[in-house]
Amino acid sequence: MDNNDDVQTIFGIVDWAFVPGWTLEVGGKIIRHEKSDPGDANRGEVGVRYAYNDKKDVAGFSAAFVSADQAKNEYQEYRGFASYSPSKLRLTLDALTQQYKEAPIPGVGKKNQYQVVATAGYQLLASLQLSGNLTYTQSPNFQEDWAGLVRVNYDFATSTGGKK
Amino acid sequence: MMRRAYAMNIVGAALLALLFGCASVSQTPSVPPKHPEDLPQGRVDCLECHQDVSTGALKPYSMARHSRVFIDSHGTYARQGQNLCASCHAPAFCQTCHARKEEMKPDTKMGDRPDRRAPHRGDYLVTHRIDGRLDPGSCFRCHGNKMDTRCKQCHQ
Repeated sequence: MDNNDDVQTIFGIVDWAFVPGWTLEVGGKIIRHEKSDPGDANRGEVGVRYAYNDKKDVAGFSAAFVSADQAKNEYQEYRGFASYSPSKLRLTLDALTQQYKEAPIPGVGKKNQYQVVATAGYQLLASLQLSGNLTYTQSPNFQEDWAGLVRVNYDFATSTGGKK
Repeated sequence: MMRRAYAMNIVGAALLALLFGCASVSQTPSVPPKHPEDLPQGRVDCLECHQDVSTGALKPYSMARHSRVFIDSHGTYARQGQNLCASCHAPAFCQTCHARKEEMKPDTKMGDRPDRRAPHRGDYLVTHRIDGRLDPGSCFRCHGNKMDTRCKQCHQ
């Protein structure tokens, strides 16, 4: 970052529930730099979400695009996710990819990254939930990375619910 | 350069005047400090009771619909008063993301809630090189300015 650079950004977001359960989201950002490095850029994104299963579950897809004066600052991002909660079980899947125009890390040729997160959870008691994440990542930093997380949630009745 | 700074000051003053003007005629309805009815565990469907019209003490659903725009500016609403948030959320709910020391990224901690808009998904160590270069102001909002210790941990 250059302390002497002057940066101006203008951004806007609009979301529209065009049909019950369906929401369209559109956003944009204009970034202007006084200095030619890093230069100017524009970001646009569009996404759609659908809530189902009595609104307990949501599925969505989004795409974002960054166009810039310099190729090293350009990338595209796509994300899709969905959840499914039959009874006390909860399953989710979340997939993300970012496609860089130029390799973002010097010396590492990889120009894309992919990540998939799968989770499963079970409500053991009204206030106790056991769940876990399994994450697969491929990126300029990781040739192939697997990560797991086991989560135990105990609700002390302090998180949500007006009178609780 | 001086003329530009002068123009920016004029615009800033006009925006402040507009802000105070809007605040003085705010139509924000009063909200009780707690939700008057007990809410069930887990996610609730606000539309079961709150339609998009005000009927008596019932507030319209649009007032608290957690849309993309609402979430992006929820800090502004939270600073205006806690009653609206406290109707459904206890203060501990804020700590899910806003704990002072994060033991892990919010999107990892809340991996089972992909519908939430936790930032920095994926291997953000890669993408932050671009986002930080292009729009450093968006980092400062949560991580402090460039002199902050958070950046200095890696960027000496």
